[in-house]
Amino acid sequence: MADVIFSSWQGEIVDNRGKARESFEAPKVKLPGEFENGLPVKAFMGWDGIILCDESVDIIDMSVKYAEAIQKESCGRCIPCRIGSKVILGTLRGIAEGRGKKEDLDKIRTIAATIKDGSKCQIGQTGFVPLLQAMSFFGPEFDRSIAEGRKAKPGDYRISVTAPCMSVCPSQLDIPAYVEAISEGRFTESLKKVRENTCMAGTLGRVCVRPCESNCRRANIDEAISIKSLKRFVADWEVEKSVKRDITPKIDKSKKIAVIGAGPAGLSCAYYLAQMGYPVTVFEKLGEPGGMAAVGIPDYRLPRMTLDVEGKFVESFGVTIKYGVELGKDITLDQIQKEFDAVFIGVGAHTSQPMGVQGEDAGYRGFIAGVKYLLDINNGVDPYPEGKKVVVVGGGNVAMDCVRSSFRIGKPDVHLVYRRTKKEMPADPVEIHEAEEEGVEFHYLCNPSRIIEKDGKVVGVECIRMELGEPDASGRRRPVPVPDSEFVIETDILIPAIGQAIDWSFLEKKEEFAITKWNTFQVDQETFATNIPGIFSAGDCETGPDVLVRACGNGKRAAWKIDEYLKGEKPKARESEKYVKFFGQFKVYDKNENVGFLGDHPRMLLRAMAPEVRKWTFEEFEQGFRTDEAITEASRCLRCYRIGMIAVG
Amino acid sequence: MITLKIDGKEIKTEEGKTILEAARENNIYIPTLCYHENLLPIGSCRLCIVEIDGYEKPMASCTTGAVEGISVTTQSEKLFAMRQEYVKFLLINHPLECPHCDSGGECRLQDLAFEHRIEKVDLEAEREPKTVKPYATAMIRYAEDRCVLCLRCVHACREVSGRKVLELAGTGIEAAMTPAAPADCISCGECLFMCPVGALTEQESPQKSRKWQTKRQTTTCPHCGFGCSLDLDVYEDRLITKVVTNPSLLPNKGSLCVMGRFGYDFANNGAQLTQPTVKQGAEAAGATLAQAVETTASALTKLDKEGKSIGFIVSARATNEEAYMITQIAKNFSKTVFGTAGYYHTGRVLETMRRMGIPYPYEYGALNACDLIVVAGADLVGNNHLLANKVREAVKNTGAKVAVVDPSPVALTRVSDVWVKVAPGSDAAFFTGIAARLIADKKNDPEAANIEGLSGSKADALAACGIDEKSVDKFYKLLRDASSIAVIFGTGLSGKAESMEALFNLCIVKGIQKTGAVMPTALQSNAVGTLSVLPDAVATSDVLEKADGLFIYEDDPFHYLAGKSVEQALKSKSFLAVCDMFETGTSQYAHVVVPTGSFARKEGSYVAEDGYMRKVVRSEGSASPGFEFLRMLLDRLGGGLYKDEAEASTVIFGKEILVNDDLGRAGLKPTNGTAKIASPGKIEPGKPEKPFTLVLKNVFFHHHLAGKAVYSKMAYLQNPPIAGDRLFISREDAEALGIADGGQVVIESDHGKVEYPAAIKEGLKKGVLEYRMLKNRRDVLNLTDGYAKHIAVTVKKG
Repeated sequence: MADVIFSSWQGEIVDNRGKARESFEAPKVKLPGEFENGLPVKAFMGWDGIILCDESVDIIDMSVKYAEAIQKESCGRCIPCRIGSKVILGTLRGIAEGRGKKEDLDKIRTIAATIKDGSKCQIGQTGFVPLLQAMSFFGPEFDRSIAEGRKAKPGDYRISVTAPCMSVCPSQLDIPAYVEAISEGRFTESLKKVRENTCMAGTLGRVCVRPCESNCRRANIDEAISIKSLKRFVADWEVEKSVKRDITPKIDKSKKIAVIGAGPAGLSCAYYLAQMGYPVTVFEKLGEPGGMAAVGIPDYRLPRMTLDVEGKFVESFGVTIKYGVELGKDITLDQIQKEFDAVFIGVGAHTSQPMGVQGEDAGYRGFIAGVKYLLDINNGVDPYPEGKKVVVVGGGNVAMDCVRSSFRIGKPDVHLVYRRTKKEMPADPVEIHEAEEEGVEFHYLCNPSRIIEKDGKVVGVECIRMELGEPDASGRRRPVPVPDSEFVIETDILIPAIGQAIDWSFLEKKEEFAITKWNTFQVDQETFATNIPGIFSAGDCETGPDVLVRACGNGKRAAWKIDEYLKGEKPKARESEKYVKFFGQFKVYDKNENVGFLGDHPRMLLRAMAPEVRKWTFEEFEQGFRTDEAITEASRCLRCYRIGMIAVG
Repeated sequence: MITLKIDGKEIKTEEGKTILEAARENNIYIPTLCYHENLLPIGSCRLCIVEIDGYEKPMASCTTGAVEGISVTTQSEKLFAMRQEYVKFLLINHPLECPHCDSGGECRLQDLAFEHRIEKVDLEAEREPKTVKPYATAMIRYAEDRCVLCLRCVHACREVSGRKVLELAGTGIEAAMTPAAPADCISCGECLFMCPVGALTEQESPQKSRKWQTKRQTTTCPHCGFGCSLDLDVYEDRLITKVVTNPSLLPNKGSLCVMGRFGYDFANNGAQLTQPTVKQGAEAAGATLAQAVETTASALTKLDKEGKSIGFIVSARATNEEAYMITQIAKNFSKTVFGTAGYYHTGRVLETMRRMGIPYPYEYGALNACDLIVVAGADLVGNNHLLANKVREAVKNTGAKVAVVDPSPVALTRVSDVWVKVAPGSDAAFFTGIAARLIADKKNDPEAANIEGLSGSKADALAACGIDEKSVDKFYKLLRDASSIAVIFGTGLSGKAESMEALFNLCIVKGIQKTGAVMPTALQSNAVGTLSVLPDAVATSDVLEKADGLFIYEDDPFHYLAGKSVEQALKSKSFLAVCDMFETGTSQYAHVVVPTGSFARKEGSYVAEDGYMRKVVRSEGSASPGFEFLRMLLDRLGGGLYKDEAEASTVIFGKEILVNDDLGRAGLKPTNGTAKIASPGKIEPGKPEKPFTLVLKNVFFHHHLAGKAVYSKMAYLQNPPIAGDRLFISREDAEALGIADGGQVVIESDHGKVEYPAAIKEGLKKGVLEYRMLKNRRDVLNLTDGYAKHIAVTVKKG
């Protein structure tokens, strides 16, 4: 962290100018000391103020460059931002070039205020916040410049745009842009925008855990935008309206890449590599694309057709996907390494974590691991037709998928056992609610202690009551067993769904790889390179079980690094990744911000089938937005783009 | 309803309305520039900002929804200063060329500058110099330097017209509206209509007149059957200088198509007939109107006395009043027969609808209450572009789904949820098969009576149609699940009676008579009206064949019938009178030719395809020469002297040809009675007699098209992408026959042979050729022996 000389960030004024370094007051905001290795951060100018760490920064020059950035980012739609910011830029330039006039400052103030108050989006609304602050907190510098006709000293800056929603998206989707396109009825353009950053619009539009929505500034005036469902809308629009895609594969490079696994990470990696011109072959064990998304997420949440469309979409860029080819069985890693110049491994985490309960590896009929249960169901098989009553153990999304799928294969009596309370459940609250609606019986604060079997068949599970103790490493309160509180739930089927692990059987020589203590691939966090040159990995097999959108994002980032590797460069973080990291240090979204606008228009939700109807069918349980609904919902977006400018050097 | 306060006044509005809409409903003025009621709010000009009690920041009233209990301020010193600043921003680089700008005097920027008391602008904002730029269509002039970037044109192009021509390009002050995809432009002029300043102006008009020098008259567009309202600007009572439109007038709310907006120039054409001619011997010589009346009256009376029959062929674009006068003239003779070109489509439509009890008239607005819109055999580009707009509006506003049934891509295929390519001639089998499937699945309207004939094996008809199964299934599912449907259909249906019956059967099975609408399109502006006024009108070809003497009013059979047969018929008549605006193919055979004048000179009414009346109002001149002739002729025959058109209108109402509905709108008497299924008989997909079917697309871009090169110069000659005679072939067929795009093909039917260059049309069904008929009709019409829209042909490389 750098010492802060001056900060006006988020309304907190810290002014250490003229003070001795040791008596510096520290602001709440923390500014990283370096933008990248060896490039110190001297100052930051952004939507919520100015942070100055080095007195050599010329505030007037910085103001001019910031105004230039506003002009560049101004989309041109609204009058105040488009023209007003140019008037200000011209005037500021005059001052910076030593042609400033006394009355210039008042002129800037007046115009800046009308832009700030009247612009359509946050580029104009926040763009002039730091400029007005510069003029008020660094007034003497401006006055002196004008009086002396002094020319400003040019500095070195890094400029990027972010938004609260974007800043937390692991795939870095340009959310305001694609939402705005929907509000203007430009659905195909919207999808194109989404696809700049992911190949899985339809999938993410259905099952993303949507960090964006919990960082949506609209929530400050009413409710967050239904960003996920809007993405689904544009993806479905293309399919429903048979919109022709304008794609011609441009494979013009000779170095070949093998991608293991056509899941979210693998598909994403292949998608970007193909667009860079590389011939890519994807080896997929299953007969369809999607990996865990295909076999782990039931059809009522994510229809196969959606994944199918996305697999074909990736193929249309010239990617070859070989389905039904299993690494370690049909082909070995050695063979692949010989044939290809680089390998990306994105095999996911397809086996279940053991519960640590006696008898779980005894092979009792009716004891089925969650992931296996879902895989069978997705293949159209009821893994245990005689079983009618189901108990699922766990509190994550896989557990929710298991309970809800159980109804759908005709199991009338479905229970869920979770060792903490509903509040601590990691599953999406919406899914928990939907499972409740469908009639799943939830047993909180209890944990299986013993499997009860008869003639090799599960007949029940003994559970012990739990209570919550001190918080553990995850911050959630640790469940502690209550002595002598055992009780039995009778059941035919017991499904542990407490977490997934990687099935390493595909690797003959696992020992050659560096493996983390969580039993995942160890990679360089900036480059996704494993310890073996030319082999990269991302997705659940690298992060451990994680959200789909992160696998997509990391697959994409790994593609960039593979490109650099194949060009013989040292793989390194891209500028855009540095910004993600840098902005990650700030809270781009401020949930306490008083936005100052009238809201009172709740978010639009998808229409779901009635619980009593949907629980018995694998048909998609929610209907996508109608055109008019999508437009209305998208129009709620406040377009919270902000400009961040870092003075470096 | 919610209650809110605007400027201290308590008002009520519907939930879902914006503050601006609520204010406008209550006549509270908030300045705007980018807002347009036909578009989704754009929110770019920021002039409509208002303050709301309790909220810190001003908000754009066009994008902020009204909420119960809020208190809004629309005028304050702060808001005025902000708005003033924004208008000043616009004026920084705006050229002050108002004296020679076509929008001078009706420019929103002029108004706003005045309203905000701007006398000078002392601000600077450097910008690359901008100037007049080439545009997507030659009919519009784009002065980029005058553009205020309100973006209404960009939005209208997509939202209203369904095209993607215009884009916003660049950022900051260099951002500009760019005609990025000119090839997609259909010259509908929606952008021109939307432009609040002089950035987009009509290419030809600036030199012709100024706003304050012209008289502006609202009337009805004479081109297709939709019945758009438009205003004509007339200079010195002799020259139409511009068409403008008013967004508050229904049914088109200011939108028009290329012909409506730019095709008015035919009315100024110097080739118009000005004086009657009467043939003396072989030579036609100029005559007075009285001489023409006398010659016509005596010739017709003579024929009548000889016991000969007299045929009256009346244009489907003549007014009701003109048609009525002709019926009165006919009353003086004993053997008469009426014919009109409108019979071929609209006549059959009206007859079938009446027979089967399908509700008519209908409302365009019904589209907004439907969740599925079926568009069958209606391309909605060549005519009825506005109906396509209405469908897009329903998709945008209510999320309606769209199903297209057509062998060829049409205006709405790009927004359609399914496109079923039914071969010409197989449509009856397709509709019947779908209806049978609904019945088999018990998804039919329970009250649809007499469905026995449709059940069971008729579903097999579907399989025999040879249509892609996936699209049939999707069509079926959409139809099955729709709670209310609208069916738009046009001339693309086969000419066989069972096609239309099968479509209506399907509608009845779906219960459309109770919820939904059947919406036939009409090619001509008064097809419905002339057919209603003329007693028992038949096809023109029948009249040509049967009558001994002919009285043709503004129609030219050469335009749509095989030339050989028309010529033969005309030559055999002992008397022929032709009344028209221009010389026509027919007029050279006429004994008497009388000028009629354009729609701008007429007074009276049309009945549009929806069955409702539209007013035609005289915009130039003091009388319509055509009506004058009819009036005098009737008087000469002893039918009495009508004072003017209004007197004829009164009679039309008196005879209950037109009646007022509950809302006071004049229209045809509604069909009543219960819907009846027509017996489907033996339904089989059309087995083509020859390997190809040539589909004639009769594009009525022109009011008068007589083979004499009298066109709308602007709309036709300057608009090659959509105008001009073109023959289209599918890619598959072209490849199979070894025909390159634009290569010659020889088409042969039982009646003739022609050679044309063929353009490849993506999406056109295999086995189908399409001919877009405009100027050069005669050759292609000779492939038939009379009237035809689907012709069995063979095709080979030329």
